[in-house]
Amino acid sequence: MTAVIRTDALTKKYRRVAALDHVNLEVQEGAVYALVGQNGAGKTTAIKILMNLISASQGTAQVLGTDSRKIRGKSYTQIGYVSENQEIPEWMKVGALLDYLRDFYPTWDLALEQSLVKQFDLPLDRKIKALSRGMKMKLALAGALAFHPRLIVLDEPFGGLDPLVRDQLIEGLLERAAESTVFLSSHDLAEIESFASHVGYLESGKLLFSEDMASLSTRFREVELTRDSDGPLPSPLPSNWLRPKTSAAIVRFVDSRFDEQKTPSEIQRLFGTVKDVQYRALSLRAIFLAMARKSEEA
Amino acid sequence: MNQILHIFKKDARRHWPEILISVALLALFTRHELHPWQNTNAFSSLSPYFFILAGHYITPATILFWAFLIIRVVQGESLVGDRQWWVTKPYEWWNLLAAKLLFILILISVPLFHVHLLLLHQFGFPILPNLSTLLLTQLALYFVLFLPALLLASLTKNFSQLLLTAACILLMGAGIAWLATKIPSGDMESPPAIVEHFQEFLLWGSVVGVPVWQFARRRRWVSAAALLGMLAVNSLISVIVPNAKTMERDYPPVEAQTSPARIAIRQPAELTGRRNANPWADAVPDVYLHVPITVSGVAPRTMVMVDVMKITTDSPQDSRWSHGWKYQHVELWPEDQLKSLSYEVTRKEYEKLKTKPLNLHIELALSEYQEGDARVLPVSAGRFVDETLGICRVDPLQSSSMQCLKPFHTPGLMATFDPQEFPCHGDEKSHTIQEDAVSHAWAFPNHYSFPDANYTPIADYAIWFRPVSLLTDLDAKPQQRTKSLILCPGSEIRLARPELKRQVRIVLDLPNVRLQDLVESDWQ
Repeated sequence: MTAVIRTDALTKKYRRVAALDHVNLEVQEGAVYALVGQNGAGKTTAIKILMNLISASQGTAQVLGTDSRKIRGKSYTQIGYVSENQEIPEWMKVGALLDYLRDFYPTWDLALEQSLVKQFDLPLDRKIKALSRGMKMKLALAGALAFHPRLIVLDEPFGGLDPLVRDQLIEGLLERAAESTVFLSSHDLAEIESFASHVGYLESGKLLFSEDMASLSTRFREVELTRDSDGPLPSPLPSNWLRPKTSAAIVRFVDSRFDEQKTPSEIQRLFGTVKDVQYRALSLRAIFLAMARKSEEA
Repeated sequence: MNQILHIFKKDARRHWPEILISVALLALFTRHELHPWQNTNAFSSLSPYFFILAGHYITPATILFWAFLIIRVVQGESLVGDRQWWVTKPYEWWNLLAAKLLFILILISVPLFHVHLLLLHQFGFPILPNLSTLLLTQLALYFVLFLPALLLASLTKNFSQLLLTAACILLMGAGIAWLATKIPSGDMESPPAIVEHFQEFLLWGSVVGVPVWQFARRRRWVSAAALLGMLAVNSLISVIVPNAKTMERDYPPVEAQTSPARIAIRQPAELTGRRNANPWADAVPDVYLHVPITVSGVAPRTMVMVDVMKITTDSPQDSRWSHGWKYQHVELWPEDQLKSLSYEVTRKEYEKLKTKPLNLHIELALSEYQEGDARVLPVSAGRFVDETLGICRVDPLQSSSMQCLKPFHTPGLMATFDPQEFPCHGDEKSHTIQEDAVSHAWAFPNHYSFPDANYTPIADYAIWFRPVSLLTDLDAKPQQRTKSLILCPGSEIRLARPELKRQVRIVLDLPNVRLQDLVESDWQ
């Protein structure tokens, strides 16, 4: 497997504020990589640097084996980019835009274009400025998929869309995901969870983790243990036990480095014998919230 | 090439209403240019009044609309910001730039070029000998209008940003011009040739280089800094280059006896009976000192031009003071006797010195021109064609003037008319009688290495024989029949090409004079 995207200590500073802080990231070919984080975490900044829309203050990034600072012109025949903030030429009609785009891409697939138009129910004769936000996103995605890009980059593609449009977009994306690598940013975690193969978590410009979904869901567990009697929590608790809470004899926390052997023995070391221990898998949203609250508390 | 055409077709489709307006304006412009002397016949011709009225505005309106169209087309793929849709599409920057230039070429330049061909043809000027100049004129238009519009559009996101930027640049230009007036000889334009070429290179290099860089890299602030840097360097050069020194080198000093014209300064007191207080004098920020002179000794068939003047003052109490060289362009012909030169000083300095007796040292830089290839031009009735002048006629509304049309440039000329040799009679109703003194007309010789960025290939100019009475008969009563120079069919004009014979500098002294006497005298 080769890395389609790789960043090395990627940093972007606006005066003294670091929007991105030494981010090391690797996205393997064929992955559906979701970059998640709160608003202002640096997701869009990272994508804009990768797309050479803005320049990094420090560090390097490679996209499809090319230094991101050299991404321009022909490089975009292999990259489909869609952003919620893009200014689409609204004076054009839907059909005219697709016609116009077609000649830019040697690999444009007319049959696929027609299929996407049908799937997304795009009105070819309507002016873009008359389209709803959801329709505009579908049009942008159709334009980004119809030429079989090697890399699809989506910046907050689902923001503010109704569930039906979101499903349509995800469906359209997944049908083509097999032939492409998808890199997207979002804070819509429920949707991401259903199709992302990898996830990276950005917090205040720092990449706190970046791994595949399977290992992430294995690594994070909500632990609930029942002690013989209530009492204060032992101190110090391991740093990977996030947001510990007690309620009478019950203790709950999120273990961010769950291990079938190590976690029970650590519980026994700190609490002694416990009546009951339950380990529950966490949704991506729950993991995200645990991480976010931990950093807020910090 | 495919991508260039593809983008061009998209732009043409998008901007078809503006293209139609541009074509309509060009049609009106053509109609106006085809009738250059229509205004003078406004009340006698059958032309619709609208066309005459619109004629005054049609050229600036067309030029402004072209600039607007270029800005719209370039900002269609804005080069500012990071949210534009097109920047993540496979546009090659040079194709995008070429597509925008192709738009200007096909939809503005080529139609204008055809209009120019039509105008030359309609006025009967040959096309082939003028073709290269016509093409160079088009190129000049790129530098003066099209590329600057493209440059501004490439640095701004929308029209309001552009207007703001243009206003800032204009303010900066005005500031520099104002600054130049505060520096002695600051408004002189005579830098050494190498400096002038360097400044031109900087200016035109940035008009071409900055948009190219901006298209290639889309780094607005770097591009804007480069542009402002160039303007600053150019201004700095203008300030630090010793223009006065260059000028003084070009005009070597001579004794008054060897001067091409004997010039003496009249004491202001001599001008009795013409001292009126100027009611507006205190309202203007600058004060004009008027130096009356007497002239003699200009050789026949020559003309001496007072190009520039410098006044230096000293008084026992104050140190020397001067505002450097100031342009004059005052013509001294063999028949001239009385003339007046003017010199601008700031009101603050004037108020400080006006009542003090001062010794004025007045330096004049003179150019002597002599007639070359002199010949007699008979004035015909109606339109007539002359190889040097082009197509001419006597102005029906001002009989002392000839209106002429010529491709591209006004020819340099020295013209002399002696009304006593060819008496013409004025209109009985107009209360004018023929002037009896010899009169002259003048146009600077051409030294064009590159054509001007003209919007029309036809130079519409006038050869005006200034009546001598204007200067000498100021006391004439209004009821009296005024003297006027009248050209009529059968008159003959001596026409010559001006040849620069020599340039010299002379010094004159005006002792013990108050500045206020120079202001009050001869102000009208």
